[in-house]
Amino acid sequence: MGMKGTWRRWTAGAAGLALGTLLLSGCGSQEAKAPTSYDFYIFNGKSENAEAMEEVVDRYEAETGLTIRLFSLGTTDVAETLRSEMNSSAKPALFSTNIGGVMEWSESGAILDLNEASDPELKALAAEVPEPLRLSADGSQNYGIPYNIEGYGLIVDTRMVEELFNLDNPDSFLEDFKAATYDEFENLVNGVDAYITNNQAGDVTLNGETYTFAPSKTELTSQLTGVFAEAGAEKWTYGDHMGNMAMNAVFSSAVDARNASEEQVDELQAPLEKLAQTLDLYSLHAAGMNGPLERGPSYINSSTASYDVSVQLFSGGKALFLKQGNWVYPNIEKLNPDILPTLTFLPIKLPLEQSDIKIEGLTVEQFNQSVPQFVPSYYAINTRVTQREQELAQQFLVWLNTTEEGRRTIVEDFQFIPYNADENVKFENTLNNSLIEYQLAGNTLSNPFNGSPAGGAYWGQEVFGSILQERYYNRAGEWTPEDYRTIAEQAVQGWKDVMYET
Amino acid sequence: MSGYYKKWFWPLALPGLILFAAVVLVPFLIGLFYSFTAWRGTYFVGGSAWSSFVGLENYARIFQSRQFLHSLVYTLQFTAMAVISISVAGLLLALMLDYAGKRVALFRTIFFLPNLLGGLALGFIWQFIYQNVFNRIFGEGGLNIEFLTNMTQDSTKNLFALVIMVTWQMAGYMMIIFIAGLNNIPRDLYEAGSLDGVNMWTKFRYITLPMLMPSITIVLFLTLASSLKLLDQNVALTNGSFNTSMLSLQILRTVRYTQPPDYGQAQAQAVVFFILVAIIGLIQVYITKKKEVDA
Repeated sequence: MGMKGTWRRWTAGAAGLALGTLLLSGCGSQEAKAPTSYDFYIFNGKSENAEAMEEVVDRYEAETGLTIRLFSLGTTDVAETLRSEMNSSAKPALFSTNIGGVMEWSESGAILDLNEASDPELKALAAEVPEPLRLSADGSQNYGIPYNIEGYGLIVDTRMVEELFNLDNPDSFLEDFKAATYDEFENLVNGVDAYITNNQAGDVTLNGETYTFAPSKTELTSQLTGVFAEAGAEKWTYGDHMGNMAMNAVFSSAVDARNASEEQVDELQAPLEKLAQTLDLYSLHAAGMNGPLERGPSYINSSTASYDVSVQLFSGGKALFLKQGNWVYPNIEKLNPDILPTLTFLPIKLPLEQSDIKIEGLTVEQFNQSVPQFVPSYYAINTRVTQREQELAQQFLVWLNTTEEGRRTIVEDFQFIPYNADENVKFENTLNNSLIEYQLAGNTLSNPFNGSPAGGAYWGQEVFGSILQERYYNRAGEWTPEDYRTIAEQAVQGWKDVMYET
Repeated sequence: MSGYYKKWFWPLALPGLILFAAVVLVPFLIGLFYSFTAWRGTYFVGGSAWSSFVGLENYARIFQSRQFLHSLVYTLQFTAMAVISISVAGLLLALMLDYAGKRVALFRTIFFLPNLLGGLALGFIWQFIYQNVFNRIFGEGGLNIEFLTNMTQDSTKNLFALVIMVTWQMAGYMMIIFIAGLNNIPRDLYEAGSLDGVNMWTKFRYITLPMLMPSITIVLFLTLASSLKLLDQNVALTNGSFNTSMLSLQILRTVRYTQPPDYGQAQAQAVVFFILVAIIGLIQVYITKKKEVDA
């Protein structure tokens, strides 16, 4: 024992100490080291194009002779995974982020402002990203190249419309619907409901034009059990995306909402009241599996009112409208591919008055014929990798977004709507095409909900969504104007409560 | 033999110690340090650890947070109910199996089975049961027991829903521990009792219970710790809706609900959580240990 034991104790202590220092130094700042097994690393946080990205990267590797490490992931936990990659010694040179993550990366300095990109072509590309689509912390930076455009509204199967109103061609109806006022929309909803439940075939007026219901139901229209396919169990479907409608009356972009003043948050009161009125209308006319789905406990149960159930209701022709985004297309494809060719987007309307809208130049008419479109993810460059990796990553972005091959990749392989789409971009995906039409016509709103406290994760879902789900959707009974006001007041207060917390 | 241990103690213990240091001790100490800083997950606000040192601010904010305090109370309520429910159910199962005769192995397996399911899977299964089966059995037209319907849509009801679920999950495991304990009680004690003409209850109260104290110590410790730290089932069943977040979920949420993510604050909550679990656990072990007796 003796000497030997002491020696062992010392080695053990030293080993422990070394280990500790090693781990501790892991979180300190380090000089970027050039990777040895690859040239640069792409962290792709979007599951939709995971497989296609794999092939695209293979092609790019073959073309350039580079070795690229690619990691794709697309769940709600993508933020945590990205953080641990950013902390590791093998950091991504190209990573995905959005308005939710940008505060973090700009504060840490890990994200490159593309206004200062070393690659002149990328710098030029970034400068061409339209102002409202730019990723920035306070509006002055330009941190990313958009992945794509997504948008949402009331998805409708035009064949259902044709058979409801006995039309040969749905186009005039669709145009009149877009131009219609909220009141006309409300009358339409009530008319369709009466038609479904009592076979009462009256007529409705849209944009001044009269549409008469078909005297008798067809095989298709007799399946309808309600007007809207709702997903009461999923707070994001109304907390985020309907909340966003009200926010669009006050904020013109996510960055605006992120930097909101207290007065602006107060200004949400009126639009939120109008939104509550709209949600009341929707939830009173919800479709169920065998007949209408009424407000109450089953309106928010995940077995009766989940996202999947709502898509199923719509795909099965039980609801006229599905309020969702173009991301729902693959889900509908799985359930009923027959309706894919006749799907299109119609705008969500709110009973706003001009005084409720705080955005210069935006009229109620314009608002009610527009659909929200936004960039869900951006490609960003990490400043914490070597200059060479940064440059290679920039070249990849330039290739993807400027070369003919790259641009074809975005549309054909990723099935993404490019942020700079023109009228030549056409998809088999009818919902994508519909969004491009709105985009080219300039009938778009933005995504301020992504700039609300903690993005949708906090205000949209836990404040606004929870108020609706836990106190209104889950009980039967009428909502009064007093209720609309209460919903709006509490949602505004919930925002203000966390406003000045850091 | 003792020479063997002296000679090989360090070589044998070292791998374990290093692992423990690497995955528990060092991260714990780093975490403790983070709780005094404005740590954001990948960086310190202001650039360095020292510039982002905020002292006890993160801790002060914990006790101003209504959400944290609510989760704390909710967790303690759940734990009190769950510990009693699981231990009693486990003990009853064990005592019943004493009379199961030849089929004891079969029943033991069946009762233990739920414990093999992961927390998330279990949560989703029970969510389905509460939303569909319970609503049908206890709803209108059924037994009409309002309290047992829509159990995941109310903070108080959900407390019971969670207790029912974890009891079903863990009682079988505790039963195994109790069975081992029961088998260790010398039969002659009961024979002596019979000779003295005591009834079943007296035997249980004065022989079984005192002799079972070592098992009770373990069972209480396991149920206490796992109830306080419950996460998966909470996430799967309600994900915090209707004010049903327990502490683990609350800590997890703190990072999600702040942008940039406030890991310093979450870490401070975790430290408070650790201290709470440690204190409650130690007190419980101290008390039950004192009651243990030798045969």
